[in-house]
Amino acid sequence: MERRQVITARPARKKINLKEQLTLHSMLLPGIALATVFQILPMIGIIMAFQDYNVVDGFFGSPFVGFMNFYDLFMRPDFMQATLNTVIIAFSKIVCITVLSIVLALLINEIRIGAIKKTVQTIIFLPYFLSWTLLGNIMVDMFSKSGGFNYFLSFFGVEPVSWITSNTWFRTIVVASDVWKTIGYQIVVFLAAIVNIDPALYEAARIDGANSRQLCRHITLPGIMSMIVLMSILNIGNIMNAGFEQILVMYNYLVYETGDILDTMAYRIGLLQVGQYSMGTAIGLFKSVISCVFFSASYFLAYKVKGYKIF
Amino acid sequence: MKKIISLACAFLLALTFVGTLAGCNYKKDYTYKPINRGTLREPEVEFKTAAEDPEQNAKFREKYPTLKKYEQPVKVTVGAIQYQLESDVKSGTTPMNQSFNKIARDVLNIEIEYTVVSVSTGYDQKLNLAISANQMPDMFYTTQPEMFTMLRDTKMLADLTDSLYMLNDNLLDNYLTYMPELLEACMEDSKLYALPQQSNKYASAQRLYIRKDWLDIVGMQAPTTIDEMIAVGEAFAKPENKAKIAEKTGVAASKLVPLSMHKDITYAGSYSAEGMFNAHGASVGSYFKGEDGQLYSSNTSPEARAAIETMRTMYEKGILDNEFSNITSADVQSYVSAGQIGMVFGEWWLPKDALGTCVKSYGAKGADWTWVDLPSYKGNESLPIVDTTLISGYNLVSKNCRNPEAVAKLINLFYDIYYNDNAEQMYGSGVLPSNGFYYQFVPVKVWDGMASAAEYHRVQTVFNELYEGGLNSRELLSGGLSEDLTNAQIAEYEAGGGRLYKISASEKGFYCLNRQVVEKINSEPALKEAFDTMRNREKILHFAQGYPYFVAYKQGISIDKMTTAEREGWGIYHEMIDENGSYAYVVDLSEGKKKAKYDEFYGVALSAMTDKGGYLADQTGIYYARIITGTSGMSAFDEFISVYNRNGGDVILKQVNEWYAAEHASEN
Repeated sequence: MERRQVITARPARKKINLKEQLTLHSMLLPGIALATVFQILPMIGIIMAFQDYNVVDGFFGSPFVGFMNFYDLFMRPDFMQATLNTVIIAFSKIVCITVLSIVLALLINEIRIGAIKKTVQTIIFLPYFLSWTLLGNIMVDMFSKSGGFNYFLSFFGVEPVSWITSNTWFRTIVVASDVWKTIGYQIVVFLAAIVNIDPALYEAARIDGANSRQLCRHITLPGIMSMIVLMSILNIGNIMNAGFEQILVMYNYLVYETGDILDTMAYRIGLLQVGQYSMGTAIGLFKSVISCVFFSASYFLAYKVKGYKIF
Repeated sequence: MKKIISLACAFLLALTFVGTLAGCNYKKDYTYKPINRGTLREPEVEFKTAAEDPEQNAKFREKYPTLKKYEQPVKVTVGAIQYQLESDVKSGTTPMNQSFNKIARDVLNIEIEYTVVSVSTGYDQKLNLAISANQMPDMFYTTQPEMFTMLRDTKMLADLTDSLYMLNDNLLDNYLTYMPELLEACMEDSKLYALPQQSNKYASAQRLYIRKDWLDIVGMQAPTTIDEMIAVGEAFAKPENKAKIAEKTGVAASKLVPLSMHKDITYAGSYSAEGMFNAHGASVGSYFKGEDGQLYSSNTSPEARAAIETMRTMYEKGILDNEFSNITSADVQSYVSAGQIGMVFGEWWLPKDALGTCVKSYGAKGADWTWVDLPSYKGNESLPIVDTTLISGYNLVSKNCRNPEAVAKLINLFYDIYYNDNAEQMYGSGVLPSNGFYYQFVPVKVWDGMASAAEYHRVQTVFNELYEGGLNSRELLSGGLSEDLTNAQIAEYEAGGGRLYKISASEKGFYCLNRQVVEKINSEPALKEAFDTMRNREKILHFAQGYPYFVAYKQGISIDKMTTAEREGWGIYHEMIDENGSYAYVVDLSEGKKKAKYDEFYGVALSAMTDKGGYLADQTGIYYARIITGTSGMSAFDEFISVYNRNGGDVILKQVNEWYAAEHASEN
């Protein structure tokens, strides 16, 4: 109640000390300048999405076509599929990474021998530092028909399948490999949250006769719950980011149906085709608008649920 | 605050409304508007080559000099592709530090600055980005017709008519006498907007390459029809035959693949599906004339359908590489080199490429290749499909470039270095690859389109003359023709008046042509005369690598009985020298001894292609791959035709036919 009052109550207007304010505000200038040059001015480029842009006529001379590029885009049969793929892949990644990283963080936390704990953590964190160019190619090799995964399965009498060209399995491979690569980072966040839990709580519980499972269920999990909720909500903002580099390295014609995402589509149209700047920008803008809505919603939720505020 | 938000929302809504209204009327017009090419502006002085009329040529060159040095330093910005270095080029050479830059500075007073540099896969993208950011280099080379069309239509290119006349006699004569249509394709309103690459259009002709030793093992002949090719593939795929091949060659049976190709089904080129399409009378992205006189797209044609059906059958039977949808051209290349592939389609340069590597590595165990023209389909002769006019690239100059003629000077300088035997005397040792000259890094260049066929005829004749003249002892040649000499040895030999032919740099000093062999040639006038007919480059490339193999081959020695040095020459011999070799096919096509089928659409991309072609290429690749791998049934081809036409295929075809009518208007 008190908190709400602080926020809603309008502070009494103070007389501004111009000299003092000027010094403070001038400190903002480099930041504002950087943001202007690299963030705000390039926004003018959005206008390309509404033009039939050509380089010579530029922003001011190219013919204005309204929403024609978007109309063309929505009429493309593969566009809705790419949007759907983007959301499905990104959503699956968020859910899997969040759930698994919590489980792993709890498990790692239970390891009592420091050296083993550090080793396990390092091994899990290691793939995070490798690039998708390398990992993607390893995945393609591993899940191809003559790859290592089939070799392993052959010991159990399983017939080889080309996993990487299968529409049934492609998304699973993408999500699983991304979980493997990035989970180490999320685990660190949760481990940090676990460390912050007051040790006195554990001691008190132990005295009351709680076992490890009970400690975990009644102290650790509730202790990091606020972090779990916060991370989950913030992740919603990433719902349109399905992992451009990863998919670019791993996909092929046979899995466009389940693997082509908005980013790879914008890349093919905007960069690989000559002169299709407007269409490429239109896809980018479409993605940005949706992302913006999700970001706003997630921040709103984060504020409503956890009182977390960035702006 | 609320007020501001409401105002902003209202403003955005108003903007959207106005935008929608303004955009509603916009519909892009894809009607083909014929380009007024005009005629090439005549030079102010009549052109005659130095060979035809030296006096007239001198007058012409006074007006249009080829290599005149600028009085003041001139800076030009360029783009360059950072290709992988070939083995004879000094390691660490980059476009920025290559010796060509220094030579251009010394000889022409041109300072070259590289603003767009990338490995080959990223070059077009980087160039595209630089152009969109209004930072186009002064001059650059591109292989993309779409880029040329866009830049020409948006008036970003300089007129290069004067630069054309400043090209050296050979190049200018080639353009004006043999390839005027190349220039015409780059003109608009009597202005020349590019110096197109002169290439032999038949160089892209596809053939089928087959492992000869595998054929021997399964007891079959090289296939001449598609059915025979499938039969050979089936034989290669049989487990008992794979076991025999594995036992003989030492390559694991599980790795053997009867026929391979790469995943980019819509791209032609080496190790692609193009040969397979051609054999059925199709070619992805091409247009052919139908019985009604109108052009039709090959992508949706019955011929393409037949090719897809054959590939589907081969995939099903385990003949076509089951991993093809995952592997790149470079992957297939490495599998061929590793002796794992039985058949591939490709152009003439494959023997010196992966096929040669395969023979080098597995020749001792009998690895050998043979090749045939495209296998025929259902009794119809299968012809390689080539472009009507082949422009393989464009040298372009920005209209903002202050010295557009510099492009001609740089092209001439490159020509002088690359095609001239005396380049080292003229421009110093910087012209040697071992000192940092790499032809691939030179930012603008035109290959001599007439040089390769002449080279083929010349080298073949010389080899036979040398052999008949007595240079045919395997003992003398079997150790190979290159000799590793230290700089001290080289200095000593040259001080004694001997001429050395440096092949490439070595750790000691240089690999040179074997002195003993050169001395033997010099000691006999007939041999010397034949030998000196070859250009310097031919001596250190074709002769040094190919001659020992040629002698052993001529004497009927089988590949597994040859020495390592002899086997090394397999690639160059069967590519450039053998009268039944792979380049001989290109020469036969060029000289009309063999037939080809032509893609009727040529020139630069039309606006509908630029706007809609990318999506259609994607769809073509997706549907083809699905049908071949059995993910979709053959009936999906009908669905593909409908998707293709509905999403721009018919718009493109209409524009292509309008273009065709305009191009051929004078014929009717």
